[in-house]
Amino acid sequence: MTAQTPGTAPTVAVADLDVFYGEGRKRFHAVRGASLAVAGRETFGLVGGSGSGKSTLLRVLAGLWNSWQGTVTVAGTALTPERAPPRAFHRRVQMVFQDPYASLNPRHTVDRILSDGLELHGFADVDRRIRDGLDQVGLGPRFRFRYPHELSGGQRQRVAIARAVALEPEVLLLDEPTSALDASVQAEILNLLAAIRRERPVTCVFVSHDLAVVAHLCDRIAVMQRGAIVEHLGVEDLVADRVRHAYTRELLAASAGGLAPLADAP
Amino acid sequence: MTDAPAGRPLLDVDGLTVTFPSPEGRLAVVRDFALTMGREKIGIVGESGSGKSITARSILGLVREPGAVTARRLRLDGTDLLALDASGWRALRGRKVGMILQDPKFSLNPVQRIGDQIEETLRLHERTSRSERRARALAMLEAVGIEDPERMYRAYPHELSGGMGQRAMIAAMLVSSPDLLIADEPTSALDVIVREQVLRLLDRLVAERGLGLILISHDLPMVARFCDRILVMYRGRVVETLDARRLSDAAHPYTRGLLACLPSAATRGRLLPTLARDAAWEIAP
Repeated sequence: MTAQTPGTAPTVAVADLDVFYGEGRKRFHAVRGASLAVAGRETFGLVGGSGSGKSTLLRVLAGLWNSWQGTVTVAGTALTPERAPPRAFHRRVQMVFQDPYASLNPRHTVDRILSDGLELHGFADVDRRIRDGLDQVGLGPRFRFRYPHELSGGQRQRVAIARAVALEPEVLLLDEPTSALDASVQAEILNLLAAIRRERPVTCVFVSHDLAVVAHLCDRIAVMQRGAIVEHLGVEDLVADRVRHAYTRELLAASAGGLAPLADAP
Repeated sequence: MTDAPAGRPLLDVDGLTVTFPSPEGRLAVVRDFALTMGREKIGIVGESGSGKSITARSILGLVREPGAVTARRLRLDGTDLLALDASGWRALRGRKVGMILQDPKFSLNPVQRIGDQIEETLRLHERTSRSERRARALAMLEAVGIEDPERMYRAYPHELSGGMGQRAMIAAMLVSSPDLLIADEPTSALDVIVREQVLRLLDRLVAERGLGLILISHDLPMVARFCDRILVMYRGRVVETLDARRLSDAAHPYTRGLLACLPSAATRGRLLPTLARDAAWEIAP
């Protein structure tokens, strides 16, 4: 296991996690023996290709999938396999999904999208929290009574982030939150996430296949391949090219080789 | 931007404009697009809504009512596309020009085997026997790097991963040897490693077969690695044409903004520059 701040319990701790889909002979072993620890206020990157198990692991951390074995503790709650976590857990642990077109209810206004969560979790002064939330994500009051179809992809992702952050979560789980966006909009969302990290005591787990995005945002990284974590890295290892596993090298060449002509690559 | 190769250009477009009706009258989503290309690799780069995909669709005759396409010149290998009727377009698509779309899940027929889909162009455009079609489809699957062509030939699209589906799509588009291939975001649904494999495959096939290629993407660095020339589009208009090897020479503030906003380990702990859009970018120089 990799280093964490000494003397403090990690905010996210996973040990020997196996995750399954399906049953019997059709059972699919999606995550194999994964272990990781994320300290409070750290931003941790989970990187891998399609089907590597990274999003599945995130769903377990979010309490959205419970067919698993192992030990999982998130924001002080030890999760139990085959059992849904208590409602309060979902306030402390919030998720932002990849596709802002699919993750917002198209029949609800922005106001309703934000107020539903706040009311469900028993927040007082919902009105003020919605105004503050929209301000913080750079949308402002004129977006409050719009519907998702009236918003661009970047604006929708801001709403999804506002919805998550309004609940003052301890842990923010981000599943490729910028990969469906244009580069300039991705930059705006990454800046927003950096600002939220600065202002709030929040621990982030960020899933991506793009090492460039992860290197920009994260402190430490776990690389996943076919369900297993094959390497733990600090971002300084990535920068200094201290990468050991062949799969990580391949990922690095494909994402950071951005400016090398195709013909020059190995 | 008229460094066209000697002789007849493969694609010759001038003054291409695409409009759609709106409450304020007809709205131009592509304005005065021009491109003269030979058997080379052209990249068209822009954000969502820049008009890059509609430009490609108009070259294939796929803009439907109430959209309207006008141009001073729109010629593919000498054929005047503006004069084509529906059957003329059908004869052209697949045989002279093929198109690969972003997500093979949506562009492959879900209830037809891959082999049949690859053979379809041959059935439509060439007089071929069944066994010849099958042999060519299998050879094509092998050419796109499928390890077990027989198995892929019998497979349905839902049985394939994203990368395999895109290889099948490329095979279906290239089997009848078109002259021009248009790839619209062919790799943006794929993860970085598979993206790299598919790009290398496209690069090799385009070189081996001497095709012209138009690669459409929002990813400027990726297009620069792959193409010879790049057209940068903003709100329906080409704002800059670049030599792909000289991305750093980009002069337009929009292009420079697209390059500056990319994250990396070097931008850690800093805010990324974001685009300050200027209304002047929408007006022709």
